[in-house]
Amino acid sequence: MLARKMWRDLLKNKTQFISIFLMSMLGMMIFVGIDAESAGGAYAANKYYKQYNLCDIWIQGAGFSDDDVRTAEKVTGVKAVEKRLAVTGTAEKYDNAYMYINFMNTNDINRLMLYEGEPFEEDAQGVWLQEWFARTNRISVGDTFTMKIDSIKIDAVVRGIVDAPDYVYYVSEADMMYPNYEKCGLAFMSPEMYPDPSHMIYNQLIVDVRDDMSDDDSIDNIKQHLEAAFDRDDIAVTDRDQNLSFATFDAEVKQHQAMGLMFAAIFLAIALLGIVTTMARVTASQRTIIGTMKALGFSKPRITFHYVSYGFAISAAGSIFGGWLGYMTLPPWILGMFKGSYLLPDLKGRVTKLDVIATIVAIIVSTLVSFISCRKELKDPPAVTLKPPAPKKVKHSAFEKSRLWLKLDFSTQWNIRDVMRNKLRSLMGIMGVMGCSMLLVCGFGCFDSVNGLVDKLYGELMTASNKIVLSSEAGYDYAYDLSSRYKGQMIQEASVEFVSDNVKKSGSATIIDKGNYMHIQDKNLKPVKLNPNGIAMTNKMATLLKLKEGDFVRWHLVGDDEWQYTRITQIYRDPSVQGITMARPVYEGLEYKFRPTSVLTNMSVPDELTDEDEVSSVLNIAHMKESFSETMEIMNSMVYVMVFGAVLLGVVVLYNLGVLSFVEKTREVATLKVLGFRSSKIRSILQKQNIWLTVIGIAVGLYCGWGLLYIICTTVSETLDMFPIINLPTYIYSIGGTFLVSTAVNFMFSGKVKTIDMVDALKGVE
Amino acid sequence: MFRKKNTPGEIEFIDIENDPTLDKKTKKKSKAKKSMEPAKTEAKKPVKIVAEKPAKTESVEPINEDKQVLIEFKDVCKKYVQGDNEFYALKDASLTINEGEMVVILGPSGAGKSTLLNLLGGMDSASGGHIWFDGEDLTTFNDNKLTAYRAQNVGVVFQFYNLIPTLTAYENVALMKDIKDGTTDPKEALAAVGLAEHMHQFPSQMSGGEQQRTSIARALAKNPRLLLCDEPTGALDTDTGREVLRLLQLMSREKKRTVVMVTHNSLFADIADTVIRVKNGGIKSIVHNETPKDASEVQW
Repeated sequence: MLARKMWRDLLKNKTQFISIFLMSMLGMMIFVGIDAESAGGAYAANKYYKQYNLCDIWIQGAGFSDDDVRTAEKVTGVKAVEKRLAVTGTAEKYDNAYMYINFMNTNDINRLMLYEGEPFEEDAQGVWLQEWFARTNRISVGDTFTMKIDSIKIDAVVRGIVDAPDYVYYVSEADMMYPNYEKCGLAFMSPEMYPDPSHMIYNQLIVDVRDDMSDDDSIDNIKQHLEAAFDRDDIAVTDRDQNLSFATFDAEVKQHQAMGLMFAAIFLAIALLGIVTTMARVTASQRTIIGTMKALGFSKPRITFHYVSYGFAISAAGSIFGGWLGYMTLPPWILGMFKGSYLLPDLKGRVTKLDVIATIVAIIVSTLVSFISCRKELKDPPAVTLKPPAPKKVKHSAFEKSRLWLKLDFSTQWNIRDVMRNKLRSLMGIMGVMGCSMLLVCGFGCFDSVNGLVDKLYGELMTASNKIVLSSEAGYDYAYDLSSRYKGQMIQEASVEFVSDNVKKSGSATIIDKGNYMHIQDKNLKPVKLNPNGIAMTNKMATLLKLKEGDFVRWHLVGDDEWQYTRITQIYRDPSVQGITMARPVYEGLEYKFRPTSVLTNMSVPDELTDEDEVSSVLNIAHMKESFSETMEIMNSMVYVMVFGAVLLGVVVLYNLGVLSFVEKTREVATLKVLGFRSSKIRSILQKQNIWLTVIGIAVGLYCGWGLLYIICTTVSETLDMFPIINLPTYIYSIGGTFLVSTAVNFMFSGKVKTIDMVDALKGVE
Repeated sequence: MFRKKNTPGEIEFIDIENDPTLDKKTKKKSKAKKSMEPAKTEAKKPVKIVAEKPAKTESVEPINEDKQVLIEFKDVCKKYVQGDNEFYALKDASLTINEGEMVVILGPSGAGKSTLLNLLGGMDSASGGHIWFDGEDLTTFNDNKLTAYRAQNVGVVFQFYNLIPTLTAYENVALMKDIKDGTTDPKEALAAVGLAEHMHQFPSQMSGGEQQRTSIARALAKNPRLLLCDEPTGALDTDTGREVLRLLQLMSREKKRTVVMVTHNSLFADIADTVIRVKNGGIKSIVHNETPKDASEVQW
């Protein structure tokens, strides 16, 4: 019978219970959905890496021989080593697509995953192309594919369509931050295909570590042993964490986990608050029923169990349904978007133990909370519980005794007291509004930040409209000619390895010649002049190396064994490239030869220029800016989710709150009506409180939204230094949006004031 | 018969029709060496109150050998403390109730009759004194034992019915199966109060009288030894109220249930076997009624 009572009580208070159900559901849906998604992503990646034997260590250097392979293989813990030549080129026929080209003899490490055609073999004629690139460019097995490495042209028959475990994620120089696999391809060939095989110089060793040595500590040891074994300064030994493909996906998965947890926590916290307020209200309104049940001889545990089962039933239903829904919907959707960014097979959601545990914990906590909130009505003997509750003792707060209090009008006093006496309810309202505005600010802020990043990158830091990227054929004289012809500025960009107190990081060095197109900004994003006699380091790199202005850093150019030990004279911030910047004279002062890699210009550059062997490509900045925004699909969807979540959160919480306070205030409102207050006046009294709570919620929410955005921006990746940017319109939209949600919901309730029947409301409590 | 020494505030009365020597027949019942004298009256006419002094008077109680004492109160107090103020809802109350009796507790509001009822039903605990139910001292009971006492022995009928609003009449009665074995079938219990037809209505769909009858059916379904009624007619019109009274009297007369009814309506005294008058937290008088009226005769 009590089960029937519960069911009917739930129906009677359906609004509140539905909102608890929704909040529990959303919380678990987001948690389980995102956890299943990231777990599934991690699982698919690990399986792929294992099955296709992703190497554990990369060794980059100017040249490796078979002897070097043997040297590496002798190091303890090393299972196998292969050598490769990794270069970049272009595919003219396909809109000058950027190509990563690998020459290799064997393929037991970083094995290619074959979609179509025949497996890779030694000494084979032909080329194996990346699947996405081939598909989007309509290249099939048997076609002849032409690529250009500097001035060398290679024609090759396509033998297979593949993916590679070391190229799950890669970007071309033009895209820089977001991959575009149609414009950037992978090609794998045997050295036989190299125009002059006998003169080919391998620049990469890929090292597979023994399975029992693949933990982080062992990898670090092996890396040190490898460095010792070679005893050359021109090599860079890196592991998976420093590998762009591996690290980017890894960071993405971890970021999703953190975000999922945070969102879930917000929703679940609100669900808990909902349970507290609703259960307290339900038990308070059933006070005499509880007294009756006690008088009839129901035991206290029995009655407690009955009421606790409300919270249990609702949160269990919500959590389990939410978890299931999350698992069914989020992984396919998010992993579906991954497919444009990460080249991973078999991406699908995966339920983990954590999901099950989290669901159980959520249910237990909700049950516990409903136990605590209904305990109050259960502790007195039935004789007391049968009577209506003694009026709450109202203590005057210090504020109420102050002079200021007396100057306030009735509605303000009434509302202040109402808020003070219903702290939990008010807190829930504030949290709902806060969550709403936080998500809105953060969501719109993402747009602002990305746009700000693009504007900064191409509007403040680099102000040229075209970037002519030179090939390795181009010497200084060619670059100089080009820069005089187009009134340009020459720059050199090179890969660098930094070392400080055992921290080793890869980055880049930018050397700037005279000109006006390159600018830097200090830590606070204020434009500053580059010290003409010093070396400036990006803030993010300095942080990673635990260095500050004035410290010394050891570094060397990749492919050069000359180590430098220089002082950091300046710290600057750069969103996309982490490393050092210096003026040409400083670079030459270190006895390097200035070798420009690109020329920046504001003049328009004819297309024919790319036909020259010395020019690799011409990047149009305006065009890059546009395509940049288009490739941000994942971010856009995240923003939509946030805005949707914000509105839903706001509506559900505020509606629940409205029902709660409306029911509680019915008698008071009826009394006011009897006293002669007009409905419109009562309405404005009620609205006042909502406005206060909304304003507080928004204020807190804006701040939290900035914090959330900050977290998102700083955890994006190691190479990106994104600045959280929130523009004024974002604040206006967020505040406006939150107010809209808040007032719309509250209007529905204050509208009900008219419907309150004075006589009915003032009759005895049943 | 003279009862043992009375403490201040206790009510004494003398039944002049009875022979005080009957005292000898008093059975010792209590484990606490308290005498519990079952009253028996041979009187043919209504009792006449001789003494009505609130402080120190003596009472004579008739003894009825057929009747067993079900409940005895001895110097029972109920004290409430509010801040520095103490206030007695009930002070030094002593009384006995026999099994199968119909008892009416009369008194103005605030006199302590509800407190008395709550203590009888184990719904509240006393601040002092002893309450024996069938030889067991309720004041020594903890919460669990009190709950079990209520579940096993007590049926309550409330002024405002206190039905569970989300359960139908049938379900309200069937609820009793959850707390006690051997309850009457809900259909039978409802049929007994004349509600066979409205079984599946919710309380809100029923009239006050129907709700109260449901409430009585719920109380009786448990087959309680003690049926407590708190102003059972308080919210009903005269005719319906009379019908409810008739039902209660029936329970006492035919089913031999002990029925204790609290009311402020002194006309109900006529239908009771025993009338206990309460005033200012103390028992003013206990009167045995030799010829109780039928409930149908009561007019108000």
